[in-house]
Amino acid sequence: MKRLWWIFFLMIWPVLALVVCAMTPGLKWGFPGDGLSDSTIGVEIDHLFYVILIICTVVFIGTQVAMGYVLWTASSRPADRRAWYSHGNHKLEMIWTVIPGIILLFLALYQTRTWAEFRMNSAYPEAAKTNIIAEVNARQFEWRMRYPAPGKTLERKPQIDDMYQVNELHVPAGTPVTIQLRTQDVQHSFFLPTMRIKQDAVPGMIIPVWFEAKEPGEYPLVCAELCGWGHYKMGAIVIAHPPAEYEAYMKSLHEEQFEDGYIE
Amino acid sequence: MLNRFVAQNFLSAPANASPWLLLVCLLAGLAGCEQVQSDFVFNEKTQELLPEAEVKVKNTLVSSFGSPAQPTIPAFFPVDRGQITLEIADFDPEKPTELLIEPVETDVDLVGKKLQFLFDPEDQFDVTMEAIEEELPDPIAELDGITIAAYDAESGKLTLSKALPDLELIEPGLELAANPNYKLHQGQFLYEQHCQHCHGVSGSGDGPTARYMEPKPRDYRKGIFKFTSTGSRDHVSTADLKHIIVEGIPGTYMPSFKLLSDESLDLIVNYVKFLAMRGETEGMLNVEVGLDFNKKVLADELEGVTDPKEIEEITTEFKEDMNEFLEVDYPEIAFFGQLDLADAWIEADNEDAIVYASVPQTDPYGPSAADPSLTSIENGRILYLGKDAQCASCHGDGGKGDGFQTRQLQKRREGGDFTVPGLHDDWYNPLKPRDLTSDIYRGGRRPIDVFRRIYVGIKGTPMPAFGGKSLTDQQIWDVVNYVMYLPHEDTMPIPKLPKAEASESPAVSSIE
Repeated sequence: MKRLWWIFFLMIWPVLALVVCAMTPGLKWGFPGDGLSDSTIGVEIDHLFYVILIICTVVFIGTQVAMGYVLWTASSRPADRRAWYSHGNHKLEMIWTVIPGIILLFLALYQTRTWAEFRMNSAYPEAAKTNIIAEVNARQFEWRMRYPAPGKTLERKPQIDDMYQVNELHVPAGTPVTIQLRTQDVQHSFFLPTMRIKQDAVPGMIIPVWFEAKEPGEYPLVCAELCGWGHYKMGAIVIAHPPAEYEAYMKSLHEEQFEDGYIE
Repeated sequence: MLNRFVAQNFLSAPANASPWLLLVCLLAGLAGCEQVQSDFVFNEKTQELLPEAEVKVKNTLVSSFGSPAQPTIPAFFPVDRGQITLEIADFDPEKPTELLIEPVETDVDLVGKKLQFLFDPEDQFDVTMEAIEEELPDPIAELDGITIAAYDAESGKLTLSKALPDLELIEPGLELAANPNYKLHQGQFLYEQHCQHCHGVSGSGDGPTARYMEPKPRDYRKGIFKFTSTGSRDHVSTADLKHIIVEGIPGTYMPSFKLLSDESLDLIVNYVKFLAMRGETEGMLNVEVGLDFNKKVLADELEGVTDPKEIEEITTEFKEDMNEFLEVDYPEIAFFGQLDLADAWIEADNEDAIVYASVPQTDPYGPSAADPSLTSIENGRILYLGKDAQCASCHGDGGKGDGFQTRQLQKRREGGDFTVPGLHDDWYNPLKPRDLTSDIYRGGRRPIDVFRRIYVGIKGTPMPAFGGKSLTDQQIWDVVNYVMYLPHEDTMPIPKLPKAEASESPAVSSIE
């Protein structure tokens, strides 16, 4: 009976863990699509994810081995021997407080650059600071975009020649772009799963979000904040064009928007 | 302690009771899992008809349009109801269960599929009427429920599940529809998923989530849709309905369904049209029958009559009239009424029905085509405030949607005032005129969209059609330019023509 626990913790449990670990790369670690990020900052975010995963794996294996050792040695001791209680042992407490502390501190410092790059205006890539392409308005249950007319910059107040679109966000690929995120009603969250971009939209706030689509293509945009009964259907697509095509597309959108329907 | 007490009591219950208890729990858990069978509801006007008339109207609706589980529609309605089209090559009345068809190769297996005969609707109607007159069973009704029992793809021989009646109309060249209405069925499935919770099973705009909404979801049953590209008296076009589903209606709860596949969108549009046609047919029958034979008419006739004998006399006479009407006139009214409705829908999809401006849009900052001494926006403002268009009476001088009409009691169409001051739509919901400064355009924000809102009006609302009547196309463009300028009024002064250019214009120089 005693050995049973030992077998469980040192044999079955780690084996199961290893099998699952061996399977996950095939499952792209649970990431959508091919498992690779479609945005540049997403690559850094994925890197952080893997670093944490490695740390967790090492800690997991370490603790499992330690526990197995304890169970093994304890099971071979005579039953009448008095147990040793470690509770309150200063040295041990120090060890298992300081080690995780160091790990957390390392993580905190290690991710600062990525975090700042995504959140802090001063650390944005230069292009993201100037390339403000659209205002994204979340509302129950759709995404409404407002673009400046070709050649103009996005103003905070809607302009007479602005262009509008629903559930489609067009961006140039291969360059950082910024959107201004707003919500017209409740909280929503702007989530590009394949780009690893996620930002809440908060009523009353205009929040800049930047990202760079590495390749031209279509990427899903979904709401990641339960916003009401229609939350599940609040999806849109981000369409990244090659830069030259993007200009042409914006021009055609402008023409379409100001169509007077006159047929000679 | 209490737990143990409860547990003991529970366990010490008679041993033979526990399986039952388990069963009861299981059954209780299953309650609510059953498939809910939803059905079309009839509108209140139908319930107001006298019972015999009510039954007749309901039967017509059920036989023409079926139920949500089995939606059907007469083939003459312009709905892509879905069918496998076959054609009779030969029919021998000696072998009434066999039909030779032009051999077709379909991906779908024909066996077991329902079969419909697509007679010319008027011929079919004549056959039915003849049978009624001669008090014989209707041979058309005998065709109901025929399915294909077997099909030989090489010879094109169809074996039917039951014998065909002796009918001259069944002849070579006649089209057949196998598996009819399957697209309606698919549309119903998608409608149930995406639309029904607001627009309701019958398209009456009363789904469970509808009560939380302002404005209310559209009730399709009048066949009226607000934002159309078709003329002011026309129905909505298929393209208009699709446009609304794809783009959504900003400023309302109607979201965009852009990410659905094109095929799904078409199926949904189809089903919405089907619901509108069903509702309109019901409305048409209510008017035709209800004008003379609803409960209220009888009650009016009996008003003040106290003698029971007289009451009976009047009632009997009334019912005799009604029965005669139902027997003689009703089938014709029901049939040709539906044909007319179908025609109206066909018209709406006609190229000619779409409204285009006869002149291109005037440059908002340039001289107006209607009055060259002013910029288009300036002239639009004058028209907006003026007597011909009277935009300001509802939309307010500043465009805030607060004109004086919003504070007045309005008349109901059938007489009497509304109890709440302000405007109402045809569904009797209170309605605010659009705040034109909000920069939200429900029916689309392209200049042509706004042009059409003014030209054909917004159907089902007090927004009238100005096109071809009170405003010329040039004037409408000025109003469009002014209305689209309104949200930006506070940051942009009204554009004026430069002095030098203006002095060239004779109108201005005469003033000077």
